[in-house]
Amino acid sequence: MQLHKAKERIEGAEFQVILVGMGTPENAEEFRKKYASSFPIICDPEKKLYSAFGLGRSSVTSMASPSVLVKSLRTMMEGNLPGIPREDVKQMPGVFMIDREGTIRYSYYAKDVSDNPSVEELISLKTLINT
Amino acid sequence: MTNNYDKAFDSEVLFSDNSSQLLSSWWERKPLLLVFLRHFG
Repeated sequence: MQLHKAKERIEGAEFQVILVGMGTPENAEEFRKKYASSFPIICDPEKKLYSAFGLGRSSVTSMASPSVLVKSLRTMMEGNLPGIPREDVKQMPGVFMIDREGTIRYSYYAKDVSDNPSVEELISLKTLINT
Repeated sequence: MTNNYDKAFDSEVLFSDNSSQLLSSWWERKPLLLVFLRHFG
């Protein structure tokens, strides 16, 4: 997901972004510097938040599927070299939009570990929160 | 699994600056896109 590169467009979409990761605050600050990210970061090393939002773990076979390998290669060719993960590599990612009443208006559960919604899809969510 | 139109889970959460804040204190100000990463890397 190229969120960092699209920060200005996302901020203009009338919602705020918070990232959630499984590492420690020190890991999160390293990540912030690496990607020059200014989004707030929640540290959830015990994965309580991941669990509360229903995000599960992938299987080994899913992680080694051709589609995951192709997406990983494509990401690297775009210049996004992955670091060495220190967290649970089987943890599935996801995205949720929560409105000001605390109601979930959009939920995206990744189909595999390399699956993410596009930036365009996320920016289009502004129509959801204006209805 | 969380469904659309469910109420979001709320809790005190730890931020990278070592502050603890209620998640709801963020969405009450402005709609919130919560992005769960696979890893910091």
